[in-house]
Amino acid sequence: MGENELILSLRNLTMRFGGLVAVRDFSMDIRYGELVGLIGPNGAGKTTIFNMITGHYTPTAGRVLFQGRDITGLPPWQVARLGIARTFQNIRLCREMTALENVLISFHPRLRSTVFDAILPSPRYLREERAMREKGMELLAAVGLERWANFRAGALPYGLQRRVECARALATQPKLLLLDEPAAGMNPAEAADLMSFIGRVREIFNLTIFLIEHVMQVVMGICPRIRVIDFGVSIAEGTPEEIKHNPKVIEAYLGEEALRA
Amino acid sequence: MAPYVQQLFNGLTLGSLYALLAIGYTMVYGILRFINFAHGEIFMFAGYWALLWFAVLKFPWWAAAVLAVAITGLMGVIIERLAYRPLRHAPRISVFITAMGVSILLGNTIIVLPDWWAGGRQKPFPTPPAIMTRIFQLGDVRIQGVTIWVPLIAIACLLGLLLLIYRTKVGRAMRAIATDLEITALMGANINRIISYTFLVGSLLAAVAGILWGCRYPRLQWDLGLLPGLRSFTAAVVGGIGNITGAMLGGFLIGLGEIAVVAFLPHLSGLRDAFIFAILILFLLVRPTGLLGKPLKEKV
Amino acid sequence: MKPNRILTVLFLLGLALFAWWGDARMDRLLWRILNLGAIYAIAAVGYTVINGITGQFSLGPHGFMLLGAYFTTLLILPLEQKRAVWIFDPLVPPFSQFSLPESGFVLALVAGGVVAVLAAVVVGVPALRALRGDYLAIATLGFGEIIFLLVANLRGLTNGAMGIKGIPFYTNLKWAVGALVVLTYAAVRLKNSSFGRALRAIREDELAAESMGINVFRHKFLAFMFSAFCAGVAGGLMATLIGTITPDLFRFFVTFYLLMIIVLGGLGSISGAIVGGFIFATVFEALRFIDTAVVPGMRMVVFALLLILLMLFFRRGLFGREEFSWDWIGRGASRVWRWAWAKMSSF
Repeated sequence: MGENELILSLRNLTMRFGGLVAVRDFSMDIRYGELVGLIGPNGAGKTTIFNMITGHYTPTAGRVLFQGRDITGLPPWQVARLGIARTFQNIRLCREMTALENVLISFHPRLRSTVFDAILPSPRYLREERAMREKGMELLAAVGLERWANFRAGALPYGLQRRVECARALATQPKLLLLDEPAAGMNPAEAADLMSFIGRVREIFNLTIFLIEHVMQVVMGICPRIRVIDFGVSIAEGTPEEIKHNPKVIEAYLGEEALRA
Repeated sequence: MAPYVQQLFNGLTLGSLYALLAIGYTMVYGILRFINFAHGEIFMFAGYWALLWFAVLKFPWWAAAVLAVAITGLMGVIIERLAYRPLRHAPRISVFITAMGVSILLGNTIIVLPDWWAGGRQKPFPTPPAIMTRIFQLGDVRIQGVTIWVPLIAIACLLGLLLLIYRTKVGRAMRAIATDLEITALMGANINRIISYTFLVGSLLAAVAGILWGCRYPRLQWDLGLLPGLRSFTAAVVGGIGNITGAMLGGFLIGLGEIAVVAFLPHLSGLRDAFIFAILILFLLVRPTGLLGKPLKEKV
Repeated sequence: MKPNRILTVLFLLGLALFAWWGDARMDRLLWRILNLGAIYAIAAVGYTVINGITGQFSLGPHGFMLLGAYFTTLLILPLEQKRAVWIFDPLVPPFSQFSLPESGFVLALVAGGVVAVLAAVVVGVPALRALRGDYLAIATLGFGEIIFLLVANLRGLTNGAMGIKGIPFYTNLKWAVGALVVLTYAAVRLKNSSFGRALRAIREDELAAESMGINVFRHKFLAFMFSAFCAGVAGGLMATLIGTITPDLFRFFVTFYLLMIIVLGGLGSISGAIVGGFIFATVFEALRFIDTAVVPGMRMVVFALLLILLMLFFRRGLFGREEFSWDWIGRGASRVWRWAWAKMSSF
C-alpha cells in the first residue's frame, strides 16, 4: 500500500497505565475515504486507541501517522487543527451554550483576528464573525438542526445533542472523523437514521470515517471493513460477513460456551 | 552533638504535630476531593475550648483537654453537616468557597468573643501538669517533657488511626469511598455516616494536635491556625494528598525541615513562609501526587 | 441604530454628567462609597472573567492589586514626598529621579496594570499550564502571598511595612467610573466575541474545547492577564483615593471580598460583578457601625456568614451567568402594565 494513500497509520501502539496494559501492539492502516469500524467487548481498549490518535493520551510505545506525518504525542488541539475530529462516548457538549455557539467554537481556531480586533471591534473581526455565523447555520442545516440553532444545547433531546456534537466536529473541517459509539442509546429506527446520516455526511464532506460501535446493526450495516480487538489486542479484521463467522470474535463476545454451541 | 539531638527532638515534635494536622486534610481530600480550608481553624479552636473549660469553668487540666478534643471533633462534624453536605453535588468550587467562608468565620468569631474567653489579643494556653513541663536531662541534652510526650501521643494516635483504617468496617468503607464515592453508595454503604466519621476523626486528630501545640507553644490567638494549617497542608501535598501514610511522612519532613532552617540558617527564618509556599507550589507543579501518591489519569 | 444601543449611549451620557456633578457637589461619604464601589467593580469585572467566565479558580487578585497600587504610586508620588517617606532605605532609581505630573495619571494607572500583567505572566505560565481546580486556587494564593512578602521586604522600592503616605488624591468619580466603563466595555466585547465563546467552552468542558482545536492554555492565560490588568488598575485607583498604602492593604481578605462580590453578582456575569461591587461598598460602609458600636471584628463575621449563606442558598447570584439587557426593563415594564390594566379592567 503506497504511503500517500493512507490517511492514518497506527504502528505498534501500546498504552500502559501503571501495571495495566490497555492496548498492546496495535497496528492499523486506513486509506483515504474509507469507512472503518472498530468493535470489541467493553473495556477492550477501543476508546483508548482513539485517545492515542487524538493526543489525549500519549502512547507508551508506537507511532501515529496522519497523512504521512508523525503526530504521536501532539496535544489534542494541534491534532484537531491538523484535521482529525472526534465525538465522545458520553456527549461532551457545552450544555449552557446554544447549539449554534457549540458549532461556532470549532471555527474559533481558524480566526485570523486578534483579541484586540475582537474587542474594538474591528471591521475585519465583524466580517469574520458574520462569516462564521453563516457557515455555522449552514452546517446545522446540513445536519437538520437549523430549527434548534438558538436552543440551549443541554435542553435538546439526546438524539439532537448527538447531532450537534457531530456538527461541532464537522465544523473543524476535518479530513478524518472519529466517531465514538454514535449509536449509543438509540432504538433501531434511530440507528437506521444514523446509518444513512453517516453515509451522507461522508459524501458531503468528503471524509474518512473511523468508528467505534457496539450496536452491530450499525457497524455491520455500513462498514465495509471492521477490526476487532479484545483485551487491548487485535484479534480479527475483515468484512462484516467474515467477522460474524470468525470464531475468535464469537469467543471474545460470547465466551467459549457460544463457540461450542 | 547536644544541640543536634535537641533540634532533632524539636523537629520530631513539630513534625508529629504537622502530621496529625495533615491527616485531616488528606482524609477529607481523599474522600470528597476538596481542600478543607477550615481545618486550621478547627485546630486553633481546640486550644480555646481547653481554655474555656480550664480557666473559666475551673475544670482540672486533663478533663478540660479531653472535653476540648471531644467538642472540637464535634465541631468538625457539625460544619460538614451544615456547610459542606448540602453542596455535595455542587461544582467543586462552591464547596471550596464555602470552606473559605467557614475558615474566616471561625477565625473572626474568636475575635468577637468576649475577653474572658477569647478576643483579639493573645491568651495564654492552660499550663499543662508537671509531667509535661518538667525538664529532663539526658547527658548534655535538656528536653522539656512536652517534647517527648508530643511525638509519643502523636504516634499513638497515628497507630490508632491506621488500625481504624485497615482493621475496621468503618475504615474499609472510608477506603472504598476514597476510591469511588458513587459506586460505594450504590453498594449500600451509608455515605453520609462514613463522611461524618471521616470529619470526626480528622477533627479529633486536629484537636489533639491543638492541645499538644498549646503545651509546647502556650500562646493562643485567633490566627493560630493559619501557618500550621498551611504547613500541614503542604505536608499533605508533599506526602501525597489522599494518602494517609504520605501525610504522616510529609508532616515529619516539613517539621524537621522547618527546625533545620531555623537552627542552621537563622537569617532566612523570616522568609520561612515564602519557603513553604515555594515548596507547595513546586510540588503542585512538578509532582502533584506527592512522594507516595500514584499519578492519576483523567478518563476521557 | 438599534434602540438598545441608543439607550446605552444615553445612559453613558447620563453617567458622565452624574460623575461631573458628583465630583463637585456630592456628599463626601456617598462620593467615597461610589468611588470604592467603582474600584471594587473594576477588580470584580476582571475577576469574574477569569473565575466566572473561564472557570479558572484564582485566589491571587489581591497580589495584583497590590502591585498596581505600588507601581502607580511610584510613578506619581511627588519627588519631595518621595524624599520624605523613604527615610531608612532610600528609594531606588529611576523612581527617585522623576515623578509624573497629574496629567500623567492615566499613564501611571495603565503602567500599574501592565506591571500586574507581568506578574500574571510569571504566575500564570506555570500555574495555568499544570494546575486545575483546588490546586490552581492554592497555587495562586501562594503566589499572592509571595508578592506580599516581596513588597513588604523590598524596602528600597516600597518602603516596606512603613508604607507610603502623601499620595496625591487623583481619583474621583470621573476617573473611577471612566475606567470602569472602559474595562467593562472590553470585558463585554471579549465575552460576546469568539474568544468569549472559547473561554466559556473551557469552563464547561476543557477537554472537549481542546478537542475542537482550542489552545486551552493560551486562552486561560489571556483571561488571566486581563483580570490582572483590571486588578492592577483598581489598585492604582485605590492608592490615589485613600492617599496611604501599606503592604497590608491588599491581603487575602480583599480576594475574599472580590469572591463575595462575584458570587453575589453571579459567577460569569459582568453586570453582576459591577452591581455586586457597588452593593459591597455600600454594605461595607453601612456595617462599619457594627465594628465600632457592637464589637470590633463583627463585620467580618457577618461577611463570612453572608458568603456561606450565599453559597448554600443563592449560588446563582443576582444575574446568574446573564448580562443586563435593556430588554429586561422593557419586559418588566410591560408586565407591570398588563397587571395594572387587568386590575383596572376588573372594576
